[in-house]
Amino acid sequence: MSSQGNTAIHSGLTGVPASRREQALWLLDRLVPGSGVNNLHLAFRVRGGLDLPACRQALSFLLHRHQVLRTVFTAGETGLRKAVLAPERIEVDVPERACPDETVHAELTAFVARPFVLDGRPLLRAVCLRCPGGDVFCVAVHHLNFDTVSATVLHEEFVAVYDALVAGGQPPAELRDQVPALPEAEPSQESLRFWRTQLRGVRPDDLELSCGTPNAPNTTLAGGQVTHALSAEAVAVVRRLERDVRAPEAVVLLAAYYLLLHNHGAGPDLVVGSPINVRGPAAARAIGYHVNVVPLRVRVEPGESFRELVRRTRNVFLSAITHVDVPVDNLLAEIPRTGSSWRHTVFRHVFNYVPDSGAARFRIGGLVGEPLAVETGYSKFDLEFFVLPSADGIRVRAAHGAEVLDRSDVRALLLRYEALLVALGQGVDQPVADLRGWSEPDTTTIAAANATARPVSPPTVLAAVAAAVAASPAAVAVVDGERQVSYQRLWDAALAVRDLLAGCGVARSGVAPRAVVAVLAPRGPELAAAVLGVWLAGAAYLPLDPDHPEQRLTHQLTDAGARVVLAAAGLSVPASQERTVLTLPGVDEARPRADLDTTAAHPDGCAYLIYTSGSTGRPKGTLVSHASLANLVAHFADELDVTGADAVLWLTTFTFDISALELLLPLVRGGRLVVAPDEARVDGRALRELVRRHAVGIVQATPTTWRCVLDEVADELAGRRVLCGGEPLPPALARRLVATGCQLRNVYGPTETTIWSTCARVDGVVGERVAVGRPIGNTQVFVMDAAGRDLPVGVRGELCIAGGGVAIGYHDRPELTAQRFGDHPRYGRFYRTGDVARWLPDGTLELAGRADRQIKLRGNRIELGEIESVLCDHPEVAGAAVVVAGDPSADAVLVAFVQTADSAGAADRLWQHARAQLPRSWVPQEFVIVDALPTTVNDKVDYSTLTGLAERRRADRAERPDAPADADPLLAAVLGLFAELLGRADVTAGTNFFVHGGHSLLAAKLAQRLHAATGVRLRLAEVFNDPTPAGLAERLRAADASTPPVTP
Amino acid sequence: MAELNSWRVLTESDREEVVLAVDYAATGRPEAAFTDLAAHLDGGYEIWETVQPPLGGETGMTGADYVARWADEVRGTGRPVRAVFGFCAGGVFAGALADRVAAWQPSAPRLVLFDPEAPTEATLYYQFHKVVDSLSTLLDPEQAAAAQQAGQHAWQSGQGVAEVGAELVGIFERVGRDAFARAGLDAEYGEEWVATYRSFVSYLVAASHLGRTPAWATATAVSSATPTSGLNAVDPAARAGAVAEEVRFAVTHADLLGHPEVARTVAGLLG
Repeated sequence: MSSQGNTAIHSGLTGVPASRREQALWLLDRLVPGSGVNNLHLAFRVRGGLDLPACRQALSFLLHRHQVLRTVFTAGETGLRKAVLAPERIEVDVPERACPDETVHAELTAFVARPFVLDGRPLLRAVCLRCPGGDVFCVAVHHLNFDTVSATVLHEEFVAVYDALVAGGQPPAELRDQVPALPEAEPSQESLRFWRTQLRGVRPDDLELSCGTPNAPNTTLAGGQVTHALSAEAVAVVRRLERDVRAPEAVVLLAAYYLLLHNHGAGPDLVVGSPINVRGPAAARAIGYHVNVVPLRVRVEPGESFRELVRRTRNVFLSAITHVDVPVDNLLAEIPRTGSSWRHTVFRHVFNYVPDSGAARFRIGGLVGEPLAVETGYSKFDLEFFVLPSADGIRVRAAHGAEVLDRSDVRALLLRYEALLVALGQGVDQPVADLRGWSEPDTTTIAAANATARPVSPPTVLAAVAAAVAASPAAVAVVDGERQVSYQRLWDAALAVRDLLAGCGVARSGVAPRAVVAVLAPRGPELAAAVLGVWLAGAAYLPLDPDHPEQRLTHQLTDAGARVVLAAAGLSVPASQERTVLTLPGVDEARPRADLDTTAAHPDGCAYLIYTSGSTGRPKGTLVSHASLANLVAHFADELDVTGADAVLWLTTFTFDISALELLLPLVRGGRLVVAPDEARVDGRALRELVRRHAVGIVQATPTTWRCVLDEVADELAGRRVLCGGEPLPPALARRLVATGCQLRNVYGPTETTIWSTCARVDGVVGERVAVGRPIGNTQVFVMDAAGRDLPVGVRGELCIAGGGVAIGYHDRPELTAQRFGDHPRYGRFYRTGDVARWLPDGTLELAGRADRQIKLRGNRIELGEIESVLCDHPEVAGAAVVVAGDPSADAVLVAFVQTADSAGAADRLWQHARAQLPRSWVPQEFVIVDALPTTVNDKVDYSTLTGLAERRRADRAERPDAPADADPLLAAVLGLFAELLGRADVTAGTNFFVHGGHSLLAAKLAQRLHAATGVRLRLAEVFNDPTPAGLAERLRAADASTPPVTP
Repeated sequence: MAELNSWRVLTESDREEVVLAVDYAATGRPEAAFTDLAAHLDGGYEIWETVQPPLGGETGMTGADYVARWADEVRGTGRPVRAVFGFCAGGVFAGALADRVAAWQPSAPRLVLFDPEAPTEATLYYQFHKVVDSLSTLLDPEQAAAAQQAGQHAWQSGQGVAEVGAELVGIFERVGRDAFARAGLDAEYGEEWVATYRSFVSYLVAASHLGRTPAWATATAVSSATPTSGLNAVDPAARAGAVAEEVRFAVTHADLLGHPEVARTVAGLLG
């Protein structure tokens, strides 16, 4: 483009202001500076050589002819302005370049993608590639002056002029007139009213799909595309439906597109963009930007039929095309802005039905030419379906935002689109909710993952332990410090416990249908014998922790109706007349017996009742059957290949259900149970010593514990089997664990489905999230949407678990049981975990955190767990927990509690780390450095304590007389930044930044942080001019109010 | 009223007359500014403060260009000018501006100069020293010392103000980029910050082109007690003839525009 420099216009005020829709395109340019996101093209190849002078002349002729191609834009401080260059002032060279055939595509992509600068230079460039396989001609034009129809017109006129020139003649007479640019029609009041009504109350947030990566932080508009030819069966259905439901093919396919989006979590109130050509019949061949992407709003009603959906879609479509004179950009200012998304606020999915798109060959200068499509690598939308019908079928080219959906997501969407169409072949009158629309890979992947049936024998853990006792009575069963207890002695002690309980009326024919015996003892042989003894007595055990406060113990004892308590000698039990407290006999005192009858424990009977605090409300007790427990223990005994030679560490506090797995895993296989003292969970050296000394092969702990002990124990873990579960496993921790050379398994499961329900072997490279693996034996898992429908691969929903592990229910809480447990037509009884998950294409599951840890703050969906995971990736961070303080619908903020050495500037470094990795709205407003994160009794992070702490910090601040934080959250945020950057606590609304230690560089930082926190970009000069929190808050507010809603 | 580009309105008023104030307020300095004076100034004057050219737009601008940019816009509004204020180097521009205003309206505006000074190489170095100093926590001590030394060398090189300014900007760009990277500033903000310094130097160099103008002879100088500022730094012999009248206050240069007593005096001068 050697001539571009000559034609630049430098006067900032040339021409007239650009229209809103032109400004909207400009916005995209600014969103991704230096990109060719708005560049369109016309490209073709000929079989032979092009006459370059003729090409140049033809292009020059057409530039003279079409005023619009001479239109230039200048972006300046006063906005975007446009002007038309006089014909003699524009000259676009057509350089020629030699190009090997194999690099033609790359060459064209680079040529088209090169950005145009809006500084008054022409928005068109051309190139001629001289290739061995035939020359290629390409023109790139900015969308401001061009669209798809323009490309066809330009192409035809170019060929006509070129043909005439190479034949030695003049351009055809009909092309000799100058064509003025077609002015943009002024929207009619009636149309404006129509669209206002149409778009009243739209909620762009609801358009988010539950697959892919929504909420991409800052877009680059990078895109990809996947093309799929619909199967003959699907095409036949579409062509038949056209008649059956009396709607054009485009409308049928659009209705199915709505359904597809809805099946993936969008809506039900959906807005899909659809490009409509706005040239009137009189200007059908006008070149220029004459397409409006109209927002077509349709609500998918699950109960209605597809026939009805098509009918409504048709009506919406038809009324839209009669009001096409209003560009959606004109309406954006009227639509409430939600979130801080960079996106177009009305739709993010586009449906583009393109008839007659066949790649037709043509002749130019006597040679055969064929069009070339250049993929520029950008997508302005999350998903755009180009539906390309032809005589032999229907192809769908799906262009997608690469940061939102990856190729596999899009391929899956296309397959499901096809499946949905095929399913419609069965009839269009059933409710659309019944159309599952799963692809074949969805069905097979999920079915294979859930094919977990396996026999469990013996059917109770008690029977399995009895078998181990019978097999090797003298083998060591429990090692506790210097003590070693044999299998026989352990069993004898269990029998003694059974007899002791019988003396209190707890026996097989027990006093109650479900006798519950509380056990209150430290981990050790006595507790192990107590568990077995309770089962031998036909009762269920209720684990109590000697360290728990008396109030909690009393609540559990009362709620469980435990009339008998087995307590270790010296431990006090809350007094009550209704309870009998028995002192647990010492294992060493038991006399030898030969009674291996385990029939008291029936598989369907209750093995234990365990209390969990739950995220809200009072603790609830879950009843777990012997069969469920046996299934779990048998699975892990096989999975971990436990043998009589193995030692398993009993590390976890017994009131956490996972402790039972540690206890029972060795005992069912004749191995050794190694008792760890409590301090081994926090003292890595103690843990290391235990593991080494007793050759422990299997260690299980929560991520919190692993984080705490890993430094000291790491070099002792190689080759050992490690289970990590109970909380999401942060990738950074997983990498560290893998690096020790251990066999790491990430396990997942709620108490209500018996300890663990899925298991993943973690090795090799750990990605951004650690999958939780596949369902364990006799377990079926499914992911469910809010309407209760099973979701296919890749779509997030609530994880539900069915199968052998599903608990009996909650003790004495029938409503809660009915609420959390359900019945699935295929999988039977199941538990709703409240965790968000999705299937991965390999049949494993990925968790996306607790449903209650996914919050919405000022319109932005935020996953607290993901923020933590990013913070944990920082080398200075040993642990992180993020909570919300305040009212999420109003002034709430994210507070990150971070376990790190409180070195100078740590909070700032973490902030920088967070903002580099996370969407803007996910970056915590406050970082609190702590020595250690508070934990619950189960060694999980104690979020309720942290939330309380965060709330108190807010309240304390609000009480400070000079900080009206509650009244004005924006001001509070600015005050917070002042305090942090200036490192002082005495900041008030009137504090002058520069008088209180701020300097210009710090001011730049303030501007940057304000941008990150509010989305408003203040110039440094503005900070200088208004250097107080009050002044800046005011400026931010004013800027925010005046910013068009699509501004990033 | 049409939107102003080169002026910002500090206080609005129903009066037709405006008071113009020349300063480079947008440097992030701790010294009080015309906003502080405006807050204390009675009399209901509408005060406009100079806005610098957009960052980068100052390239190649001479002192006369600066004055023309400000003067043309005022003239375009048709508003009569009651007075022109100037702070520090702004005093030089204020004088030139008052000369321009006097040429198009019947009566010359009142000229009030606050610690006025015509920038020299030393002014440039002093400002450079201050800003590099503010970066001390972000730079290696050796790096900071080297930058200061290079700045001093430039100052004492015997070159003219423009050359010294260009050299200081060069040094600053090098250390500044380092500093902003270490401070975690994105390039966008970092470059804006560097550009701000460049613009400030351009302002000072442009002021040095103008020097004291004829209007100074009619001006009232309002002086602080800081010995290195304004007329305090001028040779006592020259000082007497520098302006028509000088009012001295026992306040520091930094507090001069923020002091209520100063505001009262200024109100008296305007009334």
